[in-house]
Amino acid sequence: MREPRWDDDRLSEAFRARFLVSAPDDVAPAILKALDAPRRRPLVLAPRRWIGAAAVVAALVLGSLQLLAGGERAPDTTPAPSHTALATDGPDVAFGLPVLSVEEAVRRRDTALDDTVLAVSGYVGPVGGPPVSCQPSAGLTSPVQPRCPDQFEWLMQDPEQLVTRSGDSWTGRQPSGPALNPIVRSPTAWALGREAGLDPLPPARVLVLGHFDDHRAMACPAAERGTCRRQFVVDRLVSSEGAAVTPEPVLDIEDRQVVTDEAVIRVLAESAGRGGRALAVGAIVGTRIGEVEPAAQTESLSRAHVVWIVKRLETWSGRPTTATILIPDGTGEAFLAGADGITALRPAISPEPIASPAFPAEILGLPVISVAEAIGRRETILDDTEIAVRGYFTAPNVGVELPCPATPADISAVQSRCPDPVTWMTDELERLWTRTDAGWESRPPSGPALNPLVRFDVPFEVPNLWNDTGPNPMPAVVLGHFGDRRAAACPEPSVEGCRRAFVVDALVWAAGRSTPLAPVVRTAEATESDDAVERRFRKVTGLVVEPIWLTVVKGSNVREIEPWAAEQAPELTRAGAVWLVRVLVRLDGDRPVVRTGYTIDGGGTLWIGVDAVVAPWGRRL
Amino acid sequence: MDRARLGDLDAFESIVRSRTDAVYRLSLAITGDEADARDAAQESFVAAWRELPGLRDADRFDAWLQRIVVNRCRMVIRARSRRRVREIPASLLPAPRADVAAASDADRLGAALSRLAPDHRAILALHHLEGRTIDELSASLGIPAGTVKSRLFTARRALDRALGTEAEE
Repeated sequence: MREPRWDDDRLSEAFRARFLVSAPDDVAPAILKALDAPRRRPLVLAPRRWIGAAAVVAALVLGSLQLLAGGERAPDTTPAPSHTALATDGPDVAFGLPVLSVEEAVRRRDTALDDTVLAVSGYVGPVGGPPVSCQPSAGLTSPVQPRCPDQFEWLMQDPEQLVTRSGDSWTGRQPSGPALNPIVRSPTAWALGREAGLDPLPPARVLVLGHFDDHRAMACPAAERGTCRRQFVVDRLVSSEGAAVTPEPVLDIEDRQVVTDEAVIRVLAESAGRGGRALAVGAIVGTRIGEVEPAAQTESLSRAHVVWIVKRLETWSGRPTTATILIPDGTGEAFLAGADGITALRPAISPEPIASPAFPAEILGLPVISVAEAIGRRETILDDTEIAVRGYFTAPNVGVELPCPATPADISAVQSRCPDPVTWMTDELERLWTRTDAGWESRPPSGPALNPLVRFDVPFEVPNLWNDTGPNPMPAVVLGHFGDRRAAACPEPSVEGCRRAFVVDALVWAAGRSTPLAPVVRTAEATESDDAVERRFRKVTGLVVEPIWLTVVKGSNVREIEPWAAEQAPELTRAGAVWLVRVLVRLDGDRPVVRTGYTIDGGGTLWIGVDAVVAPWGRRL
Repeated sequence: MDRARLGDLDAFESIVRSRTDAVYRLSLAITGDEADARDAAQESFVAAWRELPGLRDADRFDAWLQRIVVNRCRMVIRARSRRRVREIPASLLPAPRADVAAASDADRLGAALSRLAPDHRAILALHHLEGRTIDELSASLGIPAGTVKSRLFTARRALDRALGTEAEE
């Protein structure tokens, strides 16, 4: 009997029958528990979040607390400090800058007001106490205009307890010694790492980088410009309670996804224009860029779905200053923000290595080795052991005229082809492309380098950072091997070259973070999910191995991936879609290797390649 | 809602309680896995709490939350390939051939969905489970209505193929 058609009504009914369920009883409590952590954040942090949201605030205001407000302490009302000792037991230099006391910073402001970056040691308070209440800040034209609750937070010379509690009431006062109201705006993160509640705690000992005379003061109303110029704008919280602080990126991007990783943004920002060191990184929706940089509301930035903001420490006219670099996500373009607008920057073309990213020491149980170590291994033990290699990945962009001949037909997957000769993994950051009157030119690396063979059937998704100044090398870790068994099928003169080729199996880390071994889909013909294929693989083989990663290609692609598979299992080439199942296994004791299986989409047989044989799983080879 | 946007966690908790079931069932329909659905639901609410101040239009909260849920489910599914131990609910294993005729539409749908790409599962669940219209899907997924129609058509075709395969196995 013919089955009734799956029309919309039947489908919707099936959906409801299958999924219209209540959440298990423990789901909501688990969610609420997870939410409880942010609730316990230090109260000194809370106002920062409210500022970021341009929000009105909650909670109560105690009259006594208003005593805290009142703006920065003017020097003429600041009592002479008893000492100018630093509030830190740490080094007296931070980021190459001498560490000043708060009193020295105030004196600097009052005698030589400029935007020199200062390293300042002091105490931040109050920590804890009742939440501060603010009214909406209306009519602000510049991010450095003081606004509630800036005036309630102090960077002080001495650890003064500004709030005290007696039962259900609190008493507040202003600092008696030298003090500033620190202005903290995106992209600077402000995490003092103190758990605080309604009971006031002692002030937090901090070391910060910051500056007066921020260029955004020019966006303040004329009558307030002098006040804006005197604000101490924090560029980075260096340490809190003696512990170094590694700032998290400040992301204000609603529910949008970013294309470019933060680590890549750092590299790009540090290499653009004059160069320098990234102090803070954040991102904001393009239409809101004016909230961070009033003069940057250009069409190109406003229409970007997300704009990265990097505060960079650099040297300008012999002084340490901060530059704000704006990078539309996913473009590789870089702009310098200033009081008058933005200036397009071009990343520096320099062979000098930039600060090395923190490559992982181990991935998927494999030690991560350098390119030089990988080459050394190839020269001593040329086998197909799987290795994880770190370095900078550089590849030519689509559309660039390649300095290598077109790929001949029927070439083995492990034979070098264009653009392999101009695709590099290097130990050092080297910029290999320059634009000339004749077009783009590339040069070979000067340090240890490999030409990785990255084929279309492996997971390898890197942000495309090519722009009109060339590609930005990507810090990366790739899984791969020499001695690929398919080398034996290369034409005789090329067999040794094929064996020595570094064949990539997956990109596993890029620009600061691990990349998922996500399924690679190269055909729309597939009907099975990767989960179903993986289950089938495990069921057929009985193997309990990790990791497994999958690729689905057209059957007609199988020949170029593995000629032996096409010859010995021709049904693979006739299939609409074929799945490649790669697994990392241990052989010969503990030698890691990657093995590849093939299975037709929706089929049941799994073929495995061993040496020159491709045969169904379970058949004696 | 306004209180929650201003940082009142108690107000947000009441939002969580009123929407836990809806978020969980959408997560379950997309991930097809109870443990993954729990993770996705929890991560979605945590992300929503964190990003709530950036939500400009409180009236669009539910569409906005659904978009977060879909994204979180995608991430959970992608993370699966790195997981050492996977729990596979028995309900998602292919039904034995003899049971096909007797299998309920719900079971067949569950098994067929497991063959689809996450984006297909998401758009089908939003449309057929949550009853979202084309315009609402456009808002939830942040894509033009024409693209919604195209994706829905493609997803439906893939599901039909999977249901066909399911019945033939």
